[in-house]
Amino acid sequence: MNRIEKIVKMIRKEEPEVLLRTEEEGQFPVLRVERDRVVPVLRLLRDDFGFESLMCETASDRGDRIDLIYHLFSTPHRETLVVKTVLSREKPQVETAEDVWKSANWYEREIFDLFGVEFIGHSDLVRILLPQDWVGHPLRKDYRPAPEYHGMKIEY
Amino acid sequence: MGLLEHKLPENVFFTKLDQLTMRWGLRNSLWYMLFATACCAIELMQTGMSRYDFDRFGMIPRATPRQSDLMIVAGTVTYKMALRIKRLYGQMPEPKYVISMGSCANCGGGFVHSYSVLNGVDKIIPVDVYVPGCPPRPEALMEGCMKLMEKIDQEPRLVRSAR
Repeated sequence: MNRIEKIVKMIRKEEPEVLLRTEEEGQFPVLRVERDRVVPVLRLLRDDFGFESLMCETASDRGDRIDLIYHLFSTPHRETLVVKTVLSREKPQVETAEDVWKSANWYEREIFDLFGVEFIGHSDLVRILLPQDWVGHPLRKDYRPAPEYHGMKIEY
Repeated sequence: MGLLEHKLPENVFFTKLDQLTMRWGLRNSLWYMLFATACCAIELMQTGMSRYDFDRFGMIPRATPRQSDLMIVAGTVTYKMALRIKRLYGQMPEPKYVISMGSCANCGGGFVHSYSVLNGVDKIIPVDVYVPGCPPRPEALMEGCMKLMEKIDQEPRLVRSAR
């Protein structure tokens, strides 16, 4: 039994009602978690499995859904784990991971800025890159910019 | 003029103001604003350092627009930055000049189809000299500055009308 299977087994023991799925895609093992339980699972991964670092938190617009992707890294085990969860495209909402890793603060602001995902419980959910009065979330597949910004024509 | 002329040593000469190059002082001390928006800034910094030595043209960086004669827009101008550039340009005292450095500031460059990048800084402020390149080498930037000096030389009047 490799370590990812061990991790899944342990999580099932701790949180029996969580829907989990492992995937073999790309470079790292992927753990798919249902949206409502993702933060407890992340906390478990941090506390019990040594994933003390959130390398990256990002999102991806898949057309019919938005995937939220966490890249975790464990220095003692030299190990990377990807946690994914699915959000609805119409009203993307998820609990913030800020209480688990402080570094999630800026990642989540960026995801809010570019994808419009609302992180419930986030301490300062405002745009981080684009101007505060910008309209829309540019990394959405159906994004069309406003015709102009403060009198400057947007040629897109 | 006749009376005074004979009382002074031989290396003093008299002329009328509009016969002298009016901006002789300005063109030899173009203080540029210490400001850049993207990677062209690296070349701008190199130009200011000892190898290319901007200082020999009397060009020294000023950290405030209120002491600057020249704005070198070095790099990509996003819509967010465009508002700041406009404000900084407004804070510079007349006479003021603008050099657009590199493809991005000239026309949008590689980001021309981006939703967040202004396609050319000349859409918001008047530009005197465009320096092409991505990024332009320090030689190219110095050439641009010398072109600006030539332009200043040709300005006939002491007071330039506000643009």
